[in-house]
Amino acid sequence: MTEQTPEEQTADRVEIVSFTIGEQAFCLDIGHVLEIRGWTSTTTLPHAPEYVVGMMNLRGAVLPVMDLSMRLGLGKTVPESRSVIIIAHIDKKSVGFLVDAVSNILTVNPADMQPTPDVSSAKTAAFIKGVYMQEDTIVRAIDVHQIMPQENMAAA
Amino acid sequence: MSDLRDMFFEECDDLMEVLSSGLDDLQNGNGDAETINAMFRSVHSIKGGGGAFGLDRLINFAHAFENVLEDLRSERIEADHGLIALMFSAFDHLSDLVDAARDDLEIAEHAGASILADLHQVSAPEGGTTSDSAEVDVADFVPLTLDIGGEDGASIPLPDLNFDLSAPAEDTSGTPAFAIEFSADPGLYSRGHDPALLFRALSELGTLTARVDTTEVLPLNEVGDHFSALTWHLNLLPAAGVEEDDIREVFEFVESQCVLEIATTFLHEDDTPLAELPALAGLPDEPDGGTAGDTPTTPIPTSKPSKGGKPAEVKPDTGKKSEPRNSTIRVDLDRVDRLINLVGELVISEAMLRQSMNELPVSANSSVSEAIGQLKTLSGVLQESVMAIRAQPVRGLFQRMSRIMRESSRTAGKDARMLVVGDSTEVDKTVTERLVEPLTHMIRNSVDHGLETAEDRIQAGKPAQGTIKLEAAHRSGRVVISLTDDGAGINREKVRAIAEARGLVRAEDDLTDSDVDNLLFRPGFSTADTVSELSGRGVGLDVVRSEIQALGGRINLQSDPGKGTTITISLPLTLAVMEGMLVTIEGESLVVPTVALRETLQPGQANVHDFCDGDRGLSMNGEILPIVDLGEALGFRTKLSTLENQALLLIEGESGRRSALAVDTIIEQREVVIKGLEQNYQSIPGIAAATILGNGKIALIVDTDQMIPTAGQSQLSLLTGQEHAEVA
Repeated sequence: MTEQTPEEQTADRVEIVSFTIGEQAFCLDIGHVLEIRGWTSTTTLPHAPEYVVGMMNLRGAVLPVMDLSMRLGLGKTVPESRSVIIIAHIDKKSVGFLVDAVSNILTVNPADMQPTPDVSSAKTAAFIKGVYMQEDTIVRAIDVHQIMPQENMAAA
Repeated sequence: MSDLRDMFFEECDDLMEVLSSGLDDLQNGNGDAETINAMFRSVHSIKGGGGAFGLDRLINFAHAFENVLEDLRSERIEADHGLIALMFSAFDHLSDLVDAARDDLEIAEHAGASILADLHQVSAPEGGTTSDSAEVDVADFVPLTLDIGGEDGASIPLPDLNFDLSAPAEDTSGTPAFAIEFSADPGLYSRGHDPALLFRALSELGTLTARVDTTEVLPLNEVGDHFSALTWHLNLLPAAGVEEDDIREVFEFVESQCVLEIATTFLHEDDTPLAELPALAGLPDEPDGGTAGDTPTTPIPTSKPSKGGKPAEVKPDTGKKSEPRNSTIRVDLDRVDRLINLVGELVISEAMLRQSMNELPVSANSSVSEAIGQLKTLSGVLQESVMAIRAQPVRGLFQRMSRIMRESSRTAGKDARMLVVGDSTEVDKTVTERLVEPLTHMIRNSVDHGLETAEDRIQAGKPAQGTIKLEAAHRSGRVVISLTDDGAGINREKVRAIAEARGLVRAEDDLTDSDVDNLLFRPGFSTADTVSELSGRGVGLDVVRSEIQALGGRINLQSDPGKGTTITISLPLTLAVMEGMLVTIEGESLVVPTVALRETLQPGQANVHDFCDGDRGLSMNGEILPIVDLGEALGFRTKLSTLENQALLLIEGESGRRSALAVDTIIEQREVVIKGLEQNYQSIPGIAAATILGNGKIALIVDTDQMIPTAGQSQLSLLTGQEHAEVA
């Protein structure tokens, strides 16, 4: 992706929001995150890809909620009261990411991001742009532009 | 500068509106002196603004137009049929010029040349007064033009005085008058004072004449920046009770920056006629133009020497006589929309609050429920008021349509006039914008096919000039716009014959007159080759209909053979809200737009017929309609074994085709706020938009047109692409 957020271009320290899906840790650039909400039920969309859980009402705005686990090929998330929706703003669209839990806000140096290991499946290669080593855990940085539902391809 | 420019063009819109309604009034015989004054002021302001931005063509044309209006104002010419027609053309061209200037477009050199020539011809019957109109100097429109005329000739936008100031002061037999000599120090200008304003104030004290002495004016190349070489000789014929002190008061603020001498003199009845002071209404005012050249005493065009030998009355400041304008502000549409969105969210939050209150056991707590009741009322009023901001009168739209009518009647060689009723009716801005095309289409249609030729009209006992009436009104929460012509009406036999030939109806079908009329809206009825066959109308009306329906509107046509045709459009007040039927399918709430809804019914099994692949049809009035299970079409469930417990909604699409939608239950009809899906997601087949219900849940709005199968299309393939491709 050629498109970069301003933070990626200028700062040598960026803040990331880390969260977990199953046993794995992931992160998003904090610049994309608008807010974090508890799980609310959604309205099912007809003919939507499986990873689109439905539409939610965020103070009058209608936005889709994506099951990140499903999107990443980690299996379907069964939403429960502890589940969390991260509201993010990506490419001029607002979207909710359904994840298991939000863990932390971390400050990292983008230069420290390591490339995704070569063992990658197609999905890993497409959606994970790199990893940060945080003590003994690996935090996978999500490529937000790729993770969004792709127009037309997912439509149906 | 670009801000100023934008402001000027926005003002132009308003001014053109005034001009246009003035023309309408004149045409309908409602015009009076004030109408013409208002029109004059409009053209004048456009010219003045155009001067500030160096729009020479605009100025030239506006100036010629203005001269005609001035002649009209001073009753030198009369507003007869021909002149009004000319002024309408001039109006059209002027608005073209304004548009071109706004968008920096070039207009063909010859465009409007004939209109300009006609204007000149009309305005200069006695010759002379407007001969310089084509060379108007831009600089003349800068307030207080210190135009020193290039060479020796000095001209200032003030008239001369053909009157000898040296009238013997000792002669006390005439009317007392004041001779005022005024010359400004450079400081007067640098402090922002303007002699013209002072003189205007003076003119309110009586009859004022002025002459400027330019003998001290230096050649241009010797003029320093402290230039002040003009001396004005003013003569004031005071109104009753005006004393010298009153005059001094006018100059109070400039006393230290000028040389002022006031002497009392006397006028005789037989004195040389005075040039009247032009209405100093709006600065910049009437130009004499540097072009007047070497005769500093040439009367300026507007100030014809009065005939009777009596001093002419100073015209009152016409600018002050205009009706008080509603004070308005201009706001960016984005801001308004943001406000509307916020209020929409507020209303939804309020509904959610109310709903959760009802679920609480403490609902007996009356003070809380009272407060919530108040909140509901307030948020409702708030929403209405905010929506009203987006509403604007259809006047602008109607004026555009008047022009379309004039142009198409000219092309068609028919004489027609437009009657506009209810142009102050307010409609959402987006609606008015999207009405332009369908209305244009309808008006062209009316002129081309509705109105007869003048000979036919006379033969039918109608006035030779056709009338097309465009009317707008609010009716039961909707806007109704109707277009009526007094033409020949629809030739139903021909329409029916064509419809039968095209297989739209069968020969044995029993159709009412209105059914036949509305066949014109059917796609496939109007194709190019029907135009020549059909003496009535019917060109592309299906396009009009689909555009109106896209706005959530309905269109209907009524025709009275020999007397005319009326097309009525009924529209929602705003695009943000629509009427819908709330239904449930498999626990999901969905909304079916009422626009498409014709009937709801509970089918008896006897009326439902099975076909291949589980397709079902509903027999109704001898017709078999396809049944579409909405739940199945949207992928909420697989095929139902029976429709026994289903409710059916009979819908009719834009194409006029019908089908029955099967749903689980019908809840109620309600107004819903439309929320687009594309903004944060993408369009979904079968779904037009979403809305938020009182409990905060989202309900999807069904796109009914996609739910009507066409021949050879199975129910399941209604919505394309059953599989979706994963992004690898």
